[in-house]
Amino acid sequence: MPEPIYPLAGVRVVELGEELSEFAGKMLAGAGADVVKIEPPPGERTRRNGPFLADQPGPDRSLYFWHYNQAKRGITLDIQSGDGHAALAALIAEADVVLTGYDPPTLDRLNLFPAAFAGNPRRIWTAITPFGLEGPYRNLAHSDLIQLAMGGQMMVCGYDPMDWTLPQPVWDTPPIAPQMWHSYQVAGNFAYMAILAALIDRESSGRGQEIEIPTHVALDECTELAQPMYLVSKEIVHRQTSRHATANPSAANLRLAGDGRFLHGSVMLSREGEIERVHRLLESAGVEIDPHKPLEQTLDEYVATQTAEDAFHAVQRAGIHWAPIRAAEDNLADPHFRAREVFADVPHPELGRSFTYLGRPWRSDVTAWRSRPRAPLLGEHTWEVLGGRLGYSRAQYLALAESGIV
Amino acid sequence: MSAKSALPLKGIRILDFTWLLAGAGAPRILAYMGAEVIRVESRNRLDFLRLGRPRVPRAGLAYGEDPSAADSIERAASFFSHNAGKMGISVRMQEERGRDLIRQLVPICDVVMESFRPGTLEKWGFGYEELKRLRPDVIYTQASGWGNFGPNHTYASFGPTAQAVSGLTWQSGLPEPMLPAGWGFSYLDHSGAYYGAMATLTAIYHRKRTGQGQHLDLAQAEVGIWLSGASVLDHSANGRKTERTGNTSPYRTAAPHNVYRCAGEDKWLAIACFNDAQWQGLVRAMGSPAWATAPRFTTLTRRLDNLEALDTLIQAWTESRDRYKTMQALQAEGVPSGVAQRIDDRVDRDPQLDFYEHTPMVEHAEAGWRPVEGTPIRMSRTPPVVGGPDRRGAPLFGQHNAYVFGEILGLPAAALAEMEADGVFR
Repeated sequence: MPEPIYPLAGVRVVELGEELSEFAGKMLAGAGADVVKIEPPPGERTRRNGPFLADQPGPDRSLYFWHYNQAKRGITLDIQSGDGHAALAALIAEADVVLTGYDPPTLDRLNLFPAAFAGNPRRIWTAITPFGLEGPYRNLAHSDLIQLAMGGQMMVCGYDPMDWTLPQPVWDTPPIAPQMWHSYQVAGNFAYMAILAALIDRESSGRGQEIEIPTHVALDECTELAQPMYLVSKEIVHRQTSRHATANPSAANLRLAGDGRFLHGSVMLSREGEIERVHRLLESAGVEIDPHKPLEQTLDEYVATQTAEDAFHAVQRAGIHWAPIRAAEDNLADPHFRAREVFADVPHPELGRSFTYLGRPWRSDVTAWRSRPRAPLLGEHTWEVLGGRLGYSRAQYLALAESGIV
Repeated sequence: MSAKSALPLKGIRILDFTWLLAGAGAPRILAYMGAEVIRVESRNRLDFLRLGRPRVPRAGLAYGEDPSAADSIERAASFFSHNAGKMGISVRMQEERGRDLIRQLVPICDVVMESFRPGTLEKWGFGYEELKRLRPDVIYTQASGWGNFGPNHTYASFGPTAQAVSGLTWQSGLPEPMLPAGWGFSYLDHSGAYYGAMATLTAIYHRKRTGQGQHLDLAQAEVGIWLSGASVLDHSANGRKTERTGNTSPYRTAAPHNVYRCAGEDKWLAIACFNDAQWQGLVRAMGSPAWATAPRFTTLTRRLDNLEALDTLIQAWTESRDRYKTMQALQAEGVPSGVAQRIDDRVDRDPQLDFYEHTPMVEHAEAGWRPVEGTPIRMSRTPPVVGGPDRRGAPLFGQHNAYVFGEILGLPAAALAEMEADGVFR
């Protein structure tokens, strides 16, 4: 079997950060970059994020950490000590990309800025922050919930008001922050794009640069209709159950199947050919169409006699775009995603077994996506990196370990 | 002050057969990184987004005061924003002469992007094998709902259905028996655009290093699964089925962690305390009420055991207060808190978004200088420019036919006039 080709093979990345940078670092590692995550000696705080293997916490048992740090190497280093800072500087000196995911007050405290390290004209320094490296909100205390609130996602996600007939509808239920960790995924996507653009530029210019991604700005650009509508007509869209927030209420579209599961099933009878498609579906299912009954009612009654999955396939074969509301893990049973290798088994040798992870975000006929090895154990690669890459002796490494610097 | 460096994708030409947002948003990003994007359209199947409202009035006119905007396919707000920076040509792919024009364009394009139902471009004679024949190192980015092969690959899809299948809808909302709240916008249309750009950028980098092109197959439903976090892993490791958890923080211990009603209609403030220090900051901001010193609230685990009572008491405090002033008071005490902002809050009263210029102006051929969605990417040497270096707005239908076919391809004016008369450019 030929060796897989990874598009970012040979690109050296040094990552220092919490949730803010971990998804971006995972993307770079998946594309084949050599990503070394530098953690404080007790471990990154994110090793305490759940869920945990067998619901038992531990620095090497966080499934959050496993997922978001897949295919990276990990070292521990107290970068605020003299020796630790020296090692960090040495790693940064050879890095193509430095990726930080700490908020500005933490960056200030750690002096983790490009100006604090010897210049390297080829280096690409990327800072993902909650609100930005500058500006009035620079130092705000934050979390995923706070980002999705300020960024606008929450106010467009949620439920219908209890009573649409009131002249001024009252939203009885709160706006909803979709789980999980999406603010960091949105920011991470943009960080990946920017780093790739900088790498492309560097191929011709020979030079790197500094990149910043304010998560708040990334989220502001991610509410689809809300912004163009308001910029043009000052209309405000309002949240509704399981469908687009719109300026005026729209028809509900959750359809209950016979097995108690839902389908996302909007039918736009005004759309060209839609009525014919619905007729075709009902006829092929042997359902009699009563001309005195609204077509949608007949459709709902039919769906109530089917499982969500059966209804899904029947409806799609008639050319109508519905889908069952699945949990992510339900897709493990779908032959479509199996055929497309959406999942990947990743071994955990220390546990003597493998687990099922997500395999890749896209397919290429030439380049591969790296889903192994599993995320680093705490300090797993400290010796390998300090010794192997920086040339520290075993005695130096042990001295650092004994002083708690690694 | 040195001259602005050339944008990273200067010299890259993209033939853009995408549409809507999931497809068309990707070349928009590449345009603001400097690529020359040629969007191909036809009246045979106009982008739905050209038909939507509201319609953008000419610069200087208020909404509704520009009669030239009414029903115009050139002014639909979403299309206007998502296609900023692109040139536009119009070609009937059903016509042999139309296909021939494309055959002449592919060799001088680096990238071909599309988001049709799989098989469509192939049916017109432009499958990957043919594209490679025309341009051996072409990068072909093929985006669709389900991917270009697999048992469901002929199924239809749009943002909400991809969200439903992927697990993203299920994860969002209050716990059962409440229905899933899902997403109130096409998060996967934005994400489809992001991943189209990410995959294409990766391929451009690979080609710069190796000279090799490639065929990219993106499936919106798979992007959704990719964004579902550790759900699949939790199922694999613990046999657990994903459950909704509302606005709580099940995976990073916090109490309180919720959104609370403030003064006014539908006004909310998110508050999250991950440790006792932040909780004490909240207590101080609330004026140290007696209830907050009760033993059941003094530690994180005790607050978790009394979450409902805690939320009720906090909301009793916030519900008469201004959301922004309360946020300020909490932030001053180091408490993570943020107003749940609506679009008018983000546009009209968010100084941070103003600072980062989140609605840059582009110049549209009819409407003039108008604001569109920006980008969060800041780069010190090659900063992206929304609308491309010329800050152009979305193209008019066929706006650049003369430029692309006449100047770039060098076709004589008479031949173009004949094709025009014969409807090749419809």
